[in-house]
Amino acid sequence: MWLLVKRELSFFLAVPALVWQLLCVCFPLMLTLYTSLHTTVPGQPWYACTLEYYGSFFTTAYGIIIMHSLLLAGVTTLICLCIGYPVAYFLALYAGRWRTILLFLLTLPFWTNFLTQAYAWFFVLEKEGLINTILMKLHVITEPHTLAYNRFAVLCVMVYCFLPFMIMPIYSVLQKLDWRLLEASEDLGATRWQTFLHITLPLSHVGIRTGLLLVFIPACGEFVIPMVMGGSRYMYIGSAITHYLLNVRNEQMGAVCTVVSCLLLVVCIVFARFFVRLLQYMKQRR
Amino acid sequence: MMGIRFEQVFKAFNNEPVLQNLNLEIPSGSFFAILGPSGSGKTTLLRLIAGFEQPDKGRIFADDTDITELPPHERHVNTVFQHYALFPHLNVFDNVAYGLMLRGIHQDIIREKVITTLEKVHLSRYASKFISQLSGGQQQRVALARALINQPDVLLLDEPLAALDFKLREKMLIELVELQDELRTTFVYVTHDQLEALTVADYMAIMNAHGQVEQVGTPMEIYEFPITVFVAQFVGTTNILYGTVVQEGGKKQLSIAELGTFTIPMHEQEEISWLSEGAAVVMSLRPEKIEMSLRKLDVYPNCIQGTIEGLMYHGRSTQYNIRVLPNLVMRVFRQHEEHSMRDVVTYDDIVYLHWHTDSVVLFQE
Repeated sequence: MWLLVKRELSFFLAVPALVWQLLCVCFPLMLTLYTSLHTTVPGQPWYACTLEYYGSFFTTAYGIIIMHSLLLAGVTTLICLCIGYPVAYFLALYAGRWRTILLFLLTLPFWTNFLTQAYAWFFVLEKEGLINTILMKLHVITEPHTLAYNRFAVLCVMVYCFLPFMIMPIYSVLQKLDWRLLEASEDLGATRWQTFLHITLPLSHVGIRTGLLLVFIPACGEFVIPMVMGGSRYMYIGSAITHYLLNVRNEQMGAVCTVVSCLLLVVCIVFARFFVRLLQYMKQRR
Repeated sequence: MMGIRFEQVFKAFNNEPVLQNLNLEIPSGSFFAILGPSGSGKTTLLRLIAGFEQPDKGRIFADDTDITELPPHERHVNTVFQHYALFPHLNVFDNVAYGLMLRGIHQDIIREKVITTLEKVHLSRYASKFISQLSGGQQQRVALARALINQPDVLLLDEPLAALDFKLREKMLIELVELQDELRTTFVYVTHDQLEALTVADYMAIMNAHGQVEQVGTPMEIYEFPITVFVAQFVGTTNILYGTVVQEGGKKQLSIAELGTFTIPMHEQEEISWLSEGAAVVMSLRPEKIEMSLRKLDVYPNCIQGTIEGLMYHGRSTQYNIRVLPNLVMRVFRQHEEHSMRDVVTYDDIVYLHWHTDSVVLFQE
């Protein structure tokens, strides 16, 4: 027995994590699926199923909500990539001895409560907030604009909150990048930009992919930020789920929303992967 | 083809000088080796030619054009890096095609050129392999092909064979020499391995640990006629003896304490001005130029006596360590010309060491 334990040590070490996965991820997921299909008409056996809730889900305006959710998550992810990649690049290649401090600053928001961060953003976006004050002082605008409680505010805070999840994986890949390859590329006649395009970017695609997933998936289901920053005016899929589960107590509809958004995410990611493969294939054919 | 000239180049990292007032001329179309101990600034010198570093002072010329400030991608110089620096996400073909691809050359021409270049380095069968699937020697060839396909005026090689085993290194050395013969591109070859440098180079420069060039010349000049003690000791093995010049019977001779007086080559007597009576002199005597025997031989003008203390069998030769003074051990190489030696000597034998007048090189102390 002891010998078996010793030989299969890696397996036994993995047992707690596996149990955790099973109990806290797989089981609840199955339960959600079951709830979404389960009928609540009294007197029916426990295995009786119905697609009734799915039907009512698709007949209502949820299509728009899902579109909005995907759009918000997509735009957030894109902005995060556009800001995050240069930051990660700078951190990995040029920050030098400032790197540790900058990385610390990057993770600093995690140390404070989310609501504190959100309200800090109000001070920035409000009518009497930082941005309006500065723009007024600079005479760029004559009248303060409302920047809070709209989709812009939601997007700002979304980007702010998810940015570290984009920077970190890209940074960790770029940091391991062999700078001699960049020199080799320049040596062979590439300008800085060509080197970036042909060497740095392809070699950091793993980090980009991880970053995209880490931002896009949670951004799709995010409900706190739209609620706080949008003043409960906008409905996203996450907000819909919370609405059904916590406010209306309609567990079946909540479960349906969850399952549909889950499937949608899977479809999105599979499609994205397929698209990337297609691009690679086209490039090879050329 | 292009020659490279360094004029008064000074380079320091963190206030630590790496190259000091370097003047060096690399002749166009030559196989030029730069040899020096680790930390002598050889690689820095190469990086200055490639454009990865800029000198703090001084200028670098390619023929007559000043290239000191030219960025790497505008120089007609390509490098074979020490650890190859091949692109791991590209296959062999794309690695080699990289330089041409950047210049926007037509696909068909690229394909043709890549295939010819790969044939030149015997790698045409591996075009679609990825770098991780190749052995060290094959990677080395890819690096070579990738650099050569751009038809550079100067090819820089930064210890390109350091990671290969002995047999492969020997083979690659020969291939490099043949390639250079065929292309007539200027090759600048940096190494700390003197055997490599002596084998491949038309000319070589010896650098010391302070980033200065000690001597430039053909391998034979460097080996046979070193101009400093450092060069004599760094290239090959040598015995260093300290003495003073004395006048004996109208001829200058070298007197070494407790060993006696020894002859000085005639041409040196005439040519070297510092070789006056009383001058302190360092004598270098290569181990293979010493004839060792159990009896004293009269044909040699110089002879000393010693006891064999160490004996190292190298295959083609044996190295003997012979104690001639309580504080002086001389090294002697003896070639194995026959299967069994006539004059068998072993530990603790008393032997006589002889050498010809012309076999020594003298330096000012």
